[in-house]
Amino acid sequence: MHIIVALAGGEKHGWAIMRDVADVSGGAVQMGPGTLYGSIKRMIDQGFLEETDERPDPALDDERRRYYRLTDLGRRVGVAERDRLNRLLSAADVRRLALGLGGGT
Amino acid sequence: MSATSLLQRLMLLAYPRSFRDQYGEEMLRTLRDLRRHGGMSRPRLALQVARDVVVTAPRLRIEALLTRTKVIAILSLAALAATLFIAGTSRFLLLILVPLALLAIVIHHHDRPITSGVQPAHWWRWGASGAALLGTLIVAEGAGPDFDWFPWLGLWFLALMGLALLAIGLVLGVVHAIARVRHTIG
Repeated sequence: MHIIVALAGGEKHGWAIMRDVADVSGGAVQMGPGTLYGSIKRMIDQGFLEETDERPDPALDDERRRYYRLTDLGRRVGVAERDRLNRLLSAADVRRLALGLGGGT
Repeated sequence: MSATSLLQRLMLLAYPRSFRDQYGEEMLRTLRDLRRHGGMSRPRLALQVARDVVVTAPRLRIEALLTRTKVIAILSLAALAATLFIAGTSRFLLLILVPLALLAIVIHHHDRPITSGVQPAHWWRWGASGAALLGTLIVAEGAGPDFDWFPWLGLWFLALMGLALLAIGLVLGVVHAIARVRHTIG
């Protein structure tokens, strides 16, 4: 899901995805190259991502880098996962899940 | 080549070759970026990368092994050859069948990953496989006394397998049809 969120704004190369994941998670998720490219490979196999030849700004970038973007399926999966997480968060809010407020049994 | 580059290239050897060919250079480039712009000390970076390799490389190796049609085909062929040998099949048949099958596997370059899982849209493949298996058994059974060498237990197993494949094809076909109708309505 972190990679899907990172690519939601447009195509990115591996290093940019890695940085984005670290930023969005507040540094909690630090992917190594094996984790990143292993995930990218699996997501490409599953049809969630694809490699693209397009460059956001070719003048500023190394053309040997490989860029990845979400496919329609990947975007749909991301939206479905976002909705699922939203429902879960709403349920947590409704039940006032917070430290010290729970009425645990 | 610097010691760091050499170490990084050695690290790549932990990963399966297909993965290295596809992502090796990208991984090295990302590591370079991480070293230059990641804001981590060298020991900390080395520790993180080592942990990453230990966690991900074995998994990718197992995946590469288990999701390759060629490996599965060779294992299946070996099992079939062993069964035929134990059942006392004529060596002539083995000498013809086994090299032909091996040749087919070797010629078939495109080693496709089996990652799609069971998809309802492929219902006809399951059905066709079951029908082909049952059809082959029926034709072979009618071919004459040469078929007697085959163990009856194996024959029943193959027949049940054919029926199971047909049943799976049927169930997936129904699921696929329902999904299409729902998609059309929705």
